[in-house]
Amino acid sequence: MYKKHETLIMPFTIVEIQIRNELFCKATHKRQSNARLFPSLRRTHPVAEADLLKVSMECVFGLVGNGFALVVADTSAVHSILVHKSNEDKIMVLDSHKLIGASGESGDRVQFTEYIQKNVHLYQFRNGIPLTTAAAANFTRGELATALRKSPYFVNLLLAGYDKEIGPSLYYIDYIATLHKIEKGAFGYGSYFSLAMMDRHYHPGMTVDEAIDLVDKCIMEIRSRLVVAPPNFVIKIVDKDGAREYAWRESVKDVSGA
Amino acid sequence: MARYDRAITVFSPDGHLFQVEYALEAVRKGNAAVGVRGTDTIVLGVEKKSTAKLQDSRSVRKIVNLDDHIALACAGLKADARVLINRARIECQSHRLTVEDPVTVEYITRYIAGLQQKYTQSGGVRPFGLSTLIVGFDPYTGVPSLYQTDPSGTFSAWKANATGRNSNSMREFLEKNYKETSGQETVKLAIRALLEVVESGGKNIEIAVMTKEQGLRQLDEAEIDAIVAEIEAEKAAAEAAKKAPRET
Repeated sequence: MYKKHETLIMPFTIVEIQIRNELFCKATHKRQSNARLFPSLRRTHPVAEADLLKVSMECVFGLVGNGFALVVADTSAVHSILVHKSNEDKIMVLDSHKLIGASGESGDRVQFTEYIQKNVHLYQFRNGIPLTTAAAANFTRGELATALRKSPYFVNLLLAGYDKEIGPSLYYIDYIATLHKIEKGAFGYGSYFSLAMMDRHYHPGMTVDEAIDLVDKCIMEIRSRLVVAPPNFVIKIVDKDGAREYAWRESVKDVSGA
Repeated sequence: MARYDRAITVFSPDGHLFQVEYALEAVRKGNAAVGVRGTDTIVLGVEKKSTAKLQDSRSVRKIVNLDDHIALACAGLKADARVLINRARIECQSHRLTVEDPVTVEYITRYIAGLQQKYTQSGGVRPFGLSTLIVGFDPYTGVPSLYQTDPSGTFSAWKANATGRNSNSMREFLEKNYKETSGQETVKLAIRALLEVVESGGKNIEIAVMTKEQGLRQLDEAEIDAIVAEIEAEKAAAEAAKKAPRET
């Protein structure tokens, strides 16, 4: 079962598996053959197992422009080979000036982002001022890091926000609690294409029109190059006027009626 | 000293819980607070202790938001209030997280009263020395409501009510003068009630107005002064009108 999906493992996951296995062997004073490598991992790290079985087919990406940040996400709810719906909004408006685009296990995604959202709101009521984007990103990372060694959430996040003094910013947070401040970033299979497009065409200080043009290029590339390309995307923006939905890019009308 | 005076979980022979009654006394000694429910606005007002010359008066707030649509004012021990408010705010968000709905005013009042009651029946704790006025609009029907809780954990709904120092004279005033009001009239009624017991007028009161659309808004000192001046002018006019017939 593990062998079958070996080709789906991302490079960094393999490294981590090996390190973990070494630690495990040291702790138990047992030498393990490579054949038993994955079962030992399974006991030590349930998330990594989820990662083995399912590298996200989702496409979430974002970028920072001049005075704004964008987050784009596909809107497909997929199980195995079935598309359950194609209008699932994966970008949450965290508070008045924050967006959080999430990919990963869909249950974890909803549970975790709502949990973060309620805590950000609670902070605002307690202190009378909202969290800065950087603070929210660090809080989110902290929650993921604590959960990682207990019952981990399999979610990858792009957090975009706008602060009066700082301007727009974008943070990359993945399920193993990595945090990076970035100008452009992506998750899932779509990232291979959208990162490439953004590497080629992104430049600092883009206008909204330029950025949307680049987003469309990315979506076009995903649709034309990715075997399991999702049909629909949602684009959200955050700037000095707040966080809001910007546009949809639909090639298929949702049939589920939801 | 008799045991029942110390352990709060023990009744006195004549059926009193002394610690709860002492907590009520702490409320009676606390700052005055008033709440008036209008048709489209709800007003909360509290008496403000005059701040020391070098103190930042904004750091002392007695009317707070629990959620976007719920506000709370209280009379009694301010330190206890911080704990109670914190618990209530957590419950507001927790409720949203579990059922995806904002709390109703009744729900959060019931929660706060429940918490206060727990502290009259558990070992090793003392009751909250607090009486709260909780106001808000129902998130779905938009109906405004005003509730009061006290240290024993009872709660009740009101059209207008007062608590804290001299609450009886304020309540009497409200009973005499209450009318279904809206907008600025509601604000005026609340301030008039508060001025019954607060000496130095606009300086020593804090007013917050809640509307369905805008949520809670604290009035700044200039606004309060303007309304106080208006009320005093009205009073003087009424006084003059009373005197006038006698003179002629």
